Amino acid sequence: MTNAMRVLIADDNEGDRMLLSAIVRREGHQVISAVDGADALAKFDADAPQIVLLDALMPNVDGFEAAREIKSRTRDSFVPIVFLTSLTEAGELARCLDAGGDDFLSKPYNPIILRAKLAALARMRHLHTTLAAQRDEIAMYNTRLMREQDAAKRIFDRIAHQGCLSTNVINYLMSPLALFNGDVLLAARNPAGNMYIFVGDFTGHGLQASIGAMPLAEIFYGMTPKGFGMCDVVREINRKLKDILPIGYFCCATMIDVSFHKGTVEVWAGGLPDAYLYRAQTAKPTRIGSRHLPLGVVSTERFDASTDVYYLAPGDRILMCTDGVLELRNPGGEMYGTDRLEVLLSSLPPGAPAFERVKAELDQHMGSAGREDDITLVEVTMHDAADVLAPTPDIDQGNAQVAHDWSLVYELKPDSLKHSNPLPILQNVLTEVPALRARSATIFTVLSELYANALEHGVMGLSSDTKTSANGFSRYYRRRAELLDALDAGFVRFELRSRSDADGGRLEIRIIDSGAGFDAHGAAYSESTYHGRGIPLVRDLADSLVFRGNGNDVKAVLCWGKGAGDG
Amino acid sequence: MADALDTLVIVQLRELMGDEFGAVVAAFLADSAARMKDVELALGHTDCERASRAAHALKGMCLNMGANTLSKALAALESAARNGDAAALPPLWQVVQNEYPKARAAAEGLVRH
Repeated sequence: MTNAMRVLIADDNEGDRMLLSAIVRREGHQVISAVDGADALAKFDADAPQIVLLDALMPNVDGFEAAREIKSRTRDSFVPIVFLTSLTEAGELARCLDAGGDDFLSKPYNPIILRAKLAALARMRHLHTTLAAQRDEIAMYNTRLMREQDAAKRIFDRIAHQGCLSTNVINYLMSPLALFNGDVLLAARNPAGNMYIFVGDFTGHGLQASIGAMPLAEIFYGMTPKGFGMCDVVREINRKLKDILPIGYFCCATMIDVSFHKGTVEVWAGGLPDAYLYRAQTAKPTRIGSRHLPLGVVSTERFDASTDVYYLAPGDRILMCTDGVLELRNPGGEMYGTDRLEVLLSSLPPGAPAFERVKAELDQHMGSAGREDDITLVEVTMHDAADVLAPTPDIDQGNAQVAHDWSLVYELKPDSLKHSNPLPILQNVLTEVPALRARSATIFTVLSELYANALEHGVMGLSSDTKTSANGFSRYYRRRAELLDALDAGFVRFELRSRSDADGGRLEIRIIDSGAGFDAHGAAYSESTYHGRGIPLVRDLADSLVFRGNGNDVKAVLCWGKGAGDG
Repeated sequence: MADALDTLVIVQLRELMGDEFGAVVAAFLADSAARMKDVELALGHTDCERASRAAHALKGMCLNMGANTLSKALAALESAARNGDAAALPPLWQVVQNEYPKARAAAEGLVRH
């Protein structure tokens, strides 16, 4: 017998006890004998039997009382109790069950029936033990899961919710359905002070949906401050998600690049519901539709990073949301839907706080119904650059005094101009110098504006006058993409020279391009229309800005402290 | 003896208990004598409750020994006692008293050889 059990037999009749003991032993079990109820309880505590056979009528503690006591001592485990009785009255049998009896064995004892009962009870016991173990295991896993989710959430929040969400630029509402959230909302400033904002919605909910958000956030927060363009960031996120997400899983997303200096918003939209642009001056909102597949669907080669650019005056806003907003159901099961949102937005007077109104209407719509999806609603308001808090420079004053003197030439030929962005590399080199790191925002802006100028107006010969109208923006950027794609000649050369000592220093940024310069376009173009909005900005930031040659050779100088002599 | 104890029960009991058969029979002889005293005392005090319990216990051990006639008499006594039917008790007790020595003698006969 493999499933030997310890069986407690309590009967005050010695003969009956002996007989039963013999039967039980013969089945391979170990017998513990007790002569009455009190003895049974004592032996129960001492020997922890797995099955108890109790005579109902015994002196001292009787069978009923002993059964009740045993059941109360074994709340967590299951010890079957069998009443030994020749009771035949229904009322008496019911008493046995009330007291906690699980079965009866009547006299005369029948070995075959007893064997069958013991086997059945052993199965019950095993089942109960398994169930209890599984219940405990589930409870333990649940506790551990909650603890781990809690810890993971803290890590997750640190990675995914840092950035600059809490500025005067962004209003947002995020409601996690579970502890984790399938939605992602990220915001960070690039070195030029532009704000990148990423709104995403992963397929599914919970842990599975949130896992992709971790590498996504790492890429976003890793690349943005290094000066990568929004397209580079979006492309890299797509590549990573395509790599890691299983087939059928993806991330619907809208990413925008807000330039407060230029008053522009560049949009890449893939799969989220339409965003809305509404102006401080006019009431009707403009729809910004999704043009791309969600992130993580197409391979890098087929990925389309093209964007739309919008001109926004201070006070103009863009409202973005995930589909949880549109699918929000009222207690009657009706979804909120695009129509309601558009009716609301259209009804608002110009400049009204749309975000608050939408939020209030969503609450009202939902009423007592629970939320089904993750809801993310974001409103971005254009500000004057001066009204936006500047990114905190990472100044390491301790090393700022170290003298240095170096120069660097970096030339990009057509293939590099097409496929790579030189700014992160240069920014990286420049910010190795502590004195320059403190000025990284200024340096980056100067570099990026002069580079854009050299590439777009110099090498590619684009005229910026189209950019003056809102419509012209998208035309301009479409033309830019076409020209860049077809580029087969030309170059942009950076010549950087930096010198500093304890008293101060200077950085020279010279950029030469292969273009014809602006004299070739005739006197009709003034410098500022030719170069667009960027050049006046650089003039403000640099200590000097000089165009040489035909205008295709420009030198900007940044000085600090007492400078470091003339170069 | 064939009347007092069921032969089939005894055969099974002997087979089951092996060396302990004699001890079980001895225990029956001792236990049953004690229970007979219990019943007698209870009836003497007209304690129906106690008489019923003692008759019940004695009935159980008789069933295990195959003392079927005696156990039937005890079942009748137990039932009447539990119902408080005092008038019915003396004749029923008389039947038990008649049957008990037969069962006892039969049991003693089992261990003598």
